[in-house]
Amino acid sequence: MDKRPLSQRQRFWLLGEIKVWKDQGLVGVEQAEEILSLYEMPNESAARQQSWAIFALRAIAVLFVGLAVFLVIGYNWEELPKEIKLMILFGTLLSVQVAAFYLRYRRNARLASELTFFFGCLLYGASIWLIAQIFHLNAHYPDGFWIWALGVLPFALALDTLLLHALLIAILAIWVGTEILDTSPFARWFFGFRGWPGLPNGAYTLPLLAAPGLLWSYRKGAPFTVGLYVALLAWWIVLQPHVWDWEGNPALFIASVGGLLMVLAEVHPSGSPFAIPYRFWGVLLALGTLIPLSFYDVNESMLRNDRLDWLSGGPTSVLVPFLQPLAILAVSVLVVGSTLFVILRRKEGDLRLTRPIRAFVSRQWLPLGLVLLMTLLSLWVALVREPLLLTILANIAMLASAFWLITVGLREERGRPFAAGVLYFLLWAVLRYFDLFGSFGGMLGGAFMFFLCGATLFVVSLYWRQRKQRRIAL
Amino acid sequence: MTDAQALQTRPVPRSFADRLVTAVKGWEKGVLLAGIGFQLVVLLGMTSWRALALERGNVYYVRVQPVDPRDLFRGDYVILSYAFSRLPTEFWGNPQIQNGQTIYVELVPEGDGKHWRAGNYSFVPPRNGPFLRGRIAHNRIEYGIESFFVQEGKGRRYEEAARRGQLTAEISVTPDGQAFLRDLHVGR
Repeated sequence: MDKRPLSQRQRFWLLGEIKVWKDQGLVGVEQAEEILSLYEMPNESAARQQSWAIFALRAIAVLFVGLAVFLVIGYNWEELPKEIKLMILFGTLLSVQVAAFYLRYRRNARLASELTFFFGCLLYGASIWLIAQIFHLNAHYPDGFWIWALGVLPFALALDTLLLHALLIAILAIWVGTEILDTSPFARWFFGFRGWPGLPNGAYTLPLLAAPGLLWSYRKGAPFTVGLYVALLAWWIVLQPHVWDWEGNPALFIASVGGLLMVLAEVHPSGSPFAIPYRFWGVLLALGTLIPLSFYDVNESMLRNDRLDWLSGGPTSVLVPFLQPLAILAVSVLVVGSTLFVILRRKEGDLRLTRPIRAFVSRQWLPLGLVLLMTLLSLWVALVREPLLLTILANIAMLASAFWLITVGLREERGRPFAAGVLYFLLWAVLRYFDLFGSFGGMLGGAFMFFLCGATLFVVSLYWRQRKQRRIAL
Repeated sequence: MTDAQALQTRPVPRSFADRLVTAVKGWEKGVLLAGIGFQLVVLLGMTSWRALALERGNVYYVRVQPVDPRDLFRGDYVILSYAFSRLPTEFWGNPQIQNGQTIYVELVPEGDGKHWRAGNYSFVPPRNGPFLRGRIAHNRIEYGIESFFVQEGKGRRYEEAARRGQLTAEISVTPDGQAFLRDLHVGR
């Protein structure tokens, strides 16, 4: 059986614990040695970390070689006839993939084979662009990324490596961006027909292409890879306002997506590392979007632009402002409903349904509140079109978010949410100071503000240290 | 049998996802081979579709006007514009005309016996004579023959030739009106 990986810090902790167990007579010397033999020795751990560092360096090297290939291809040698170019292209791709196969199954060199397959997949992408170049193909630009991603997908699933998943995710992210932001209607041929009448092009195949990799990451216990797929899906969702012509006012939708990602983290059992990426991206999206929403000028300009879009449309465009609140409401009901379903299903033996629901609401009051607030604000924007209330509520939401993060940190004894909450509060204070009083205070006022922030952080760090010391003493 | 014993002996039900991952790993070699096969089929498909159309289509010469941008992945290329790239003004503002709509343009020979120009525009394929199939995009028509890729720094001669009105595109047109760009020629 392979020895389990153990970092230096974990080993130090384990040695201390084993000493306590031996002193208390819980384990004997032989048992202690058996426990230790389950884990890597320091030299083995160092070798593993070193081999990973070398792998990462080689992966970057391969990426650079791949970029060089792109540029060589981009040069478009006039002297070479297209038949020769095609022969070089097919020959190189086939040789690289065969070499990767040989390394994996004949030489049993798994890491080297993964790097070679990675290079092969980069070459496949380069070949798509080269063929387009050779034949002066003036097709819809993002199509190239789509068929590139499709060709990388089997490799990402079959090889147990983050490298191919990262490549697939990067290609899909570029595809979604170019597909949605480029409003060309030609991309609809992906559906096999010219699209549904009235349905805009929203790169709807993305969930299908991302789902196998996401599933793989869960089954393989890879939270980091899950995080990358969650980021990809979040990127696809936040681009949807552009698809549905809500560009004038996408912030409320984006903030609610952030809140819903935080809610989705609850489908994982308590303490699961897979919940972290959902919380991370959710906090980043929701709290990040609240920052521009907290400025009156930004909201005023957003509403002005939105109003122009609305008035310039036809008679049916009166309904357009109500699409966003309806969409937020529909997605929220779906996500919150599914999360509750999973939570209630987990509580098989507990007959009282209200208890887990109450616990869920008390843990997630901020994300749920944010989603509700964004729904109501999008209705407010559609009906009243007035920026002051929007600004005030966004500021209150920022303060509530900081408070929520601090309380989560204190309740669960976690430093990161606590620090994030404190920093978010200080960011809010600095923004409001320069927004409202910047012109009165001048440089001295600014200096006082920064001094206050520094002092607050110092006091907070002292408080956290004392708290930790008290916990250790207990 | 106690509950604990039952739990130990009962086989744990495997989810669809578990079975899928196990199947992919069990067929690792097959999945990788299929992946390589897919990549080659895509590239061969791209190549043969294009080569076949170039081989079988009829050849026409049309006058062009280029500019000279650069594409990150495909290097330098010349954007080509034709007289028939502009949607005729009588179609402008027509609410029935939408972006992405297919439009057919008849090709009629010019007096010099070499070049061809646009004849009638219609939304159904013409019954007689060669024609181009295009798509409407914001008062313009795109035919898929608007990019010509050149070696880095070699686009200028085409630009200068176009400025003098001496640039001609050699296009291959299939019976259903699909056009493919074969080459650019400098000179009258």
